[in-house]
Amino acid sequence: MHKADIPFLSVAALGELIRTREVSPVEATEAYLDRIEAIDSTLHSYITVCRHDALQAAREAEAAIARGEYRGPLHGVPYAVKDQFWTKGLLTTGGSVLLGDFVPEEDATVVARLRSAGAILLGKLNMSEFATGNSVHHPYGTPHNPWDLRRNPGTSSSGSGAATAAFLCATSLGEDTGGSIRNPANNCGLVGIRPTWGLVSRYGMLGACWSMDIGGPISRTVEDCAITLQTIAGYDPCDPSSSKAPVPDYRAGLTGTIQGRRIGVVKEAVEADFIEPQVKTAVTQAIAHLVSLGATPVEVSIPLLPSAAAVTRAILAVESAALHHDWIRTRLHEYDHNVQLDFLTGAILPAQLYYKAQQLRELTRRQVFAALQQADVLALPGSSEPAALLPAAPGIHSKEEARQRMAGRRSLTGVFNLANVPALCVPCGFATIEGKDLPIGLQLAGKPFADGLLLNVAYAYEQSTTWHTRRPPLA
Amino acid sequence: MADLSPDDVQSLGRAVGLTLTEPLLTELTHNLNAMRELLEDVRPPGLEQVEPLPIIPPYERGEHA
Repeated sequence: MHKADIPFLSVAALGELIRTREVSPVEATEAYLDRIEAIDSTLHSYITVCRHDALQAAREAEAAIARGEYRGPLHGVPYAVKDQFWTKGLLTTGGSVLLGDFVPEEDATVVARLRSAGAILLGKLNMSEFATGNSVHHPYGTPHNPWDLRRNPGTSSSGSGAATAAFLCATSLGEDTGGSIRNPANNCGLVGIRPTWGLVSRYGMLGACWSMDIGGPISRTVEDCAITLQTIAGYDPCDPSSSKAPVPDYRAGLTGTIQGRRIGVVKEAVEADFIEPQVKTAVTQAIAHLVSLGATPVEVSIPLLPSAAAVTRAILAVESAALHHDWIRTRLHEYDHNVQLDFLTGAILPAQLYYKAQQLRELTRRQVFAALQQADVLALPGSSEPAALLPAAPGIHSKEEARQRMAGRRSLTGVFNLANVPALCVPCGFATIEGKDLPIGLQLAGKPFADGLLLNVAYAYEQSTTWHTRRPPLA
Repeated sequence: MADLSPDDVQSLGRAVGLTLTEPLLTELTHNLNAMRELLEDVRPPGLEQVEPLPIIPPYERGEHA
């Protein structure tokens, strides 16, 4: 195989070629590093590339496999992680200058598990500052969308979306508090899953909002997503909130059979007037396609969905402000302008409003669970629109502008982080905007620990369509 | 609910040890008023009876798939 073709392989295919020693981990790592060097000055998806360490790890993987010490489907496979996860001995910035010299002394649990699986860390991926999702200024370069360089790859795991879509890593990790895995997956034509809260350890992950934060994979295929999730999921004694529930074999669960599965069509989402018409059409057709595969559609309602964004923003603002209590008072102006506004809002939000937000969270959760009593998975758009143009300037100029930012598309993802149920995004079409084809995502959500079911429904859809085979112009 | 003024917001800041100045003060006032309004607008029946339960992992609440 020509080395330059290696980055275009799926994790599943590359892993198999590495297992059979038709491709060397060193070749694969070099191929990705070559692409990063050639392309990433345009995309700015990476903050740190660890070339030397990656090649060393690749040589060790090659030697181990030659000795017969094969560890599994990620052994020798190059990956990257959002710069929100600790990496031992490697700069971890959180996308901020405030952590411009932070070098952790240990790995986050998810990184440690990927290392144990023999995966090769290529580097740390760019992100919105401290995973807030609203930052305009990126001190390490503004990430761009490979499908249209003028556009946002999605926040806050923007580098994870851009790098994975541009074939600059085989798979990646992002983190999702209010949609930060699903939004990049939606904008970049990828598969991203926000796992059940508690399924994946948060140890060693820079926090944004502890009660909603969760790390998860952003990959090019559902199978790759399943392989990556399998490796990082499971109880961690370092994170007492992590679940002791057994982790099923996600990859083995990809049967592609969804006969009889009830697909809950969330009417407040599908009928919302803020959904771009091409998105509405693509998602409606995707749901119809699932029905053609044997699923049964059921209309469900989540009346509080339209307010989910505001509730999420209120809780996130307060919890983030608490995490940044000291720096807000001593280093405020080193944060991005919009991040300053978000943190200050959280610092002074009246307690009674925060309490109400938590009450609304509980009610939203009950409504989501009620919907999940009527359906096996819920279906709705991943976003109200394709990737937006990169913001021109920071700041808020009116209350109305502020209201717009706290509503709209963010409610589509926010509703599931409030309920802490799993939700994923899978490509379901393209919108043509100003002559460019931009990905559209179908979002699926399920009951706690039904991550495997979500992956299988997404797999059934993916394997009977071709959206995931298209490549962005930059690639 | 009347909007807060920048002076009101500045007082809130002082209450928590923050000195708020322009241009952030006006933008923060917009942001805070927007959030207050959006949350106040949502009044589902029975909300006053809802206890905002602390986040308990789903498996402890017996709510598995």
